[in-house]
Amino acid sequence: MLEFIIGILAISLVFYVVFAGADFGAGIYEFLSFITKRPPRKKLVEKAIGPIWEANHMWLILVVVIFFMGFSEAFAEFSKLLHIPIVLILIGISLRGTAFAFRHYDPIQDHWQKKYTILFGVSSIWTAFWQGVVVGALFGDLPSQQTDFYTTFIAPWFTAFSFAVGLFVVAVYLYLAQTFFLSESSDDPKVTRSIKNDVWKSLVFVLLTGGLVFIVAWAKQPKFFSVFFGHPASITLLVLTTLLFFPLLNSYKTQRFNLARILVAFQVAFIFMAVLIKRFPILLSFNDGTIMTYSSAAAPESTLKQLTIALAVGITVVLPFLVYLLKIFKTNRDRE
Amino acid sequence: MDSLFAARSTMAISLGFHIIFAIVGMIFPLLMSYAHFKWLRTKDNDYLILTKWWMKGLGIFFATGAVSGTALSFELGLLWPTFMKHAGPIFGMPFSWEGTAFFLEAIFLGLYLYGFKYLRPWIHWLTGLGVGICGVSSGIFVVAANSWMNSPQGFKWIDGRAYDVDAVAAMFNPAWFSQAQHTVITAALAVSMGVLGIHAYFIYKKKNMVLNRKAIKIALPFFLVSALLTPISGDYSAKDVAKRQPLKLAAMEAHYDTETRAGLWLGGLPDVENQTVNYGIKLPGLLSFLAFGDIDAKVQGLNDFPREHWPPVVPVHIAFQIMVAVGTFALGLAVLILIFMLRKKDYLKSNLILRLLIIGIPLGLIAVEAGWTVTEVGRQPWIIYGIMKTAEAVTPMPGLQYMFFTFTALYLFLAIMVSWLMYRQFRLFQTEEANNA
Repeated sequence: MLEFIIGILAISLVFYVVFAGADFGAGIYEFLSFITKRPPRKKLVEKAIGPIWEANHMWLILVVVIFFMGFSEAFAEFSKLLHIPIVLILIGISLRGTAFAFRHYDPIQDHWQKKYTILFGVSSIWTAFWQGVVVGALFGDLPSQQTDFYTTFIAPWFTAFSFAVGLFVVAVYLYLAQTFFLSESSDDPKVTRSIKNDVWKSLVFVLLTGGLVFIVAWAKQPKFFSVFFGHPASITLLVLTTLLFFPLLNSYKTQRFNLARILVAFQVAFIFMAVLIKRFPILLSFNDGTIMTYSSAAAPESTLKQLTIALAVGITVVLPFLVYLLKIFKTNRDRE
Repeated sequence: MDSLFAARSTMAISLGFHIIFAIVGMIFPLLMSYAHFKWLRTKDNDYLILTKWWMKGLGIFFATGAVSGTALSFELGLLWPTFMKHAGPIFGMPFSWEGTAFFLEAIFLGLYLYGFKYLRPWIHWLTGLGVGICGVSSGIFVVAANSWMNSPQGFKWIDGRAYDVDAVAAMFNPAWFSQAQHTVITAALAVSMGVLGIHAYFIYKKKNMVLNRKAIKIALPFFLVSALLTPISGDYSAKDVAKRQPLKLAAMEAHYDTETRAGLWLGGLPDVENQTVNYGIKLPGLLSFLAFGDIDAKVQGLNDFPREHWPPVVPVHIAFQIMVAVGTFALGLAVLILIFMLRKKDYLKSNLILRLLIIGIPLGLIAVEAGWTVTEVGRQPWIIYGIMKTAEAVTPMPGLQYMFFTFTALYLFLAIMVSWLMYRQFRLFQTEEANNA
């Protein structure tokens, strides 16, 4: 049961990163196009994420529900010690989702569209960055005792490593979105070409920020660094991610963008899974050497059973509709 | 501002903001599906125009509700980590079902809002109906979590820890049905009253008469049924509270001394120090009757309980009065419209009815806020009734007032934006351009 729940938690996290991550990336990409005064990608963004962003967002709801029902002790500590960056994420999520909806449903298309776009873009970058910061902080040791304000509530996430992960997440989301956009833009070769150029740039950005994460980890977070490379599954996944670049480059060349989209999604999923596996079975670790694992923080057996049932039924009911949604809007066929 | 007060205020503003969007997300899709159904059946283009206008409103309200709901689920941990640590495994189950319903709702919403070009007409209609059904279901599920806080069960509480957790028993707690039915019925009342009022306003202003009449005809059945059911539903809820949370009932009624043939206050401002109520009218025996169905029944007063367990009497009493007043207003208005209909007179030609409908626009929403004030403030000082005090649950993080200011600013901004967008929509709706939307 516990394994099933952890599995669904991991899958939900990966799906959130890949699908919602691409939505965040769409906002980042649009903002970058906007400030560099290039043709706006608004239409493309609307087409790509309009019907699906709210469903993509639901993976996060699933994650938080599993977290507080299944591992409430860890959830309580996580919420207490990372209060500030979580609040920053929530502000970003709220502004981003509403800015996007406001822009789409504002009945009058006037200069306000620009303001919504700026808000949508800035809050996309903001949210992605702080999500990365929280992920980074989860690899450090959290304070076991409450002491002064800085040590307890700031120091756990105010680290070079966390900020590097924040930048890396922004880069990955952007890269994801651009690849996803390629297959949405197939009707206009000029747009496709310009997005393809951008994909290269953001790939460089991904590699640079990824490199930065490793350098900072090597210097400041030896635990992360050593175990990341020490775990055979993590290494395998990293190797696979690298190997995927070959078919990926080929698919760019041959304009098979749907394939490219899937390959990139797998790359990101692999990196994220490598990180999750590396950390397993630890949920949180503390500076007095104690750790909270999935099993030590797990809810009583009876609750896990109910959670398992709810998740099994929920996934069975939701998945067919989700596939239908993606099929309808991602196969580019209008009824008319 | 002390930490507990800041945390409670942050929770209050977040819940108070979210609940408006949540109830619109529950009921509005049903109205929209009804309009859509009429279009599919009659091919009358007005219904299509109406459906499309309402879709825009739904898009804005759903997105705002979804993000504020996400924020709330995290805020439970941010503000009340000790509560979540203990309560998570016990009352998490309804959240897991709510999550499923909400997920489906978001999928259906995507299919519906963007589906005109892609889906076959009746399939498309079904996805719209699905949004409403999933919305109502997720509302019912999440109320189970709240009702558990009012009537906790499904665990043994020994030395500050829960043992023998039974999540099923916790979900099916005795307050669930009474709270859920009242939530759904009054959500229908508040939303249909709002929609009716807005379209009545356009008729009052003689704008786009034909379309607005059709809109009113769609919302009216929802209003009539829910307005007639609300008093019964409220009575059921009050009797339930009387049985399980006598202290909450006493606060709702500013009822200080235990007595038989207890009177019911109409209006009034409680003076807690002197244990009186000023400026109100007391109807003898009515509280006993409403709480227990017998004018001679004994109703426990606040003084039967230790003072430190009293909820804040003034806000709870006032909120309760507002809720009852709005319910009565809606019932009166519904009866008035029914009288017109029975006499085969056109109620939309009555300026009185139009004015009352316009006055009703915010009233339902205000009553919903008041209702949650009664439920939540009326449970204080407990976060889990009789088990854990709210003060024990609050996060140790200092400076919570800044979180309160932040969220207040955020929700104020979003509230202004949504109102402004609605205003823009109405402005356009008044013109003939509405027909080309």
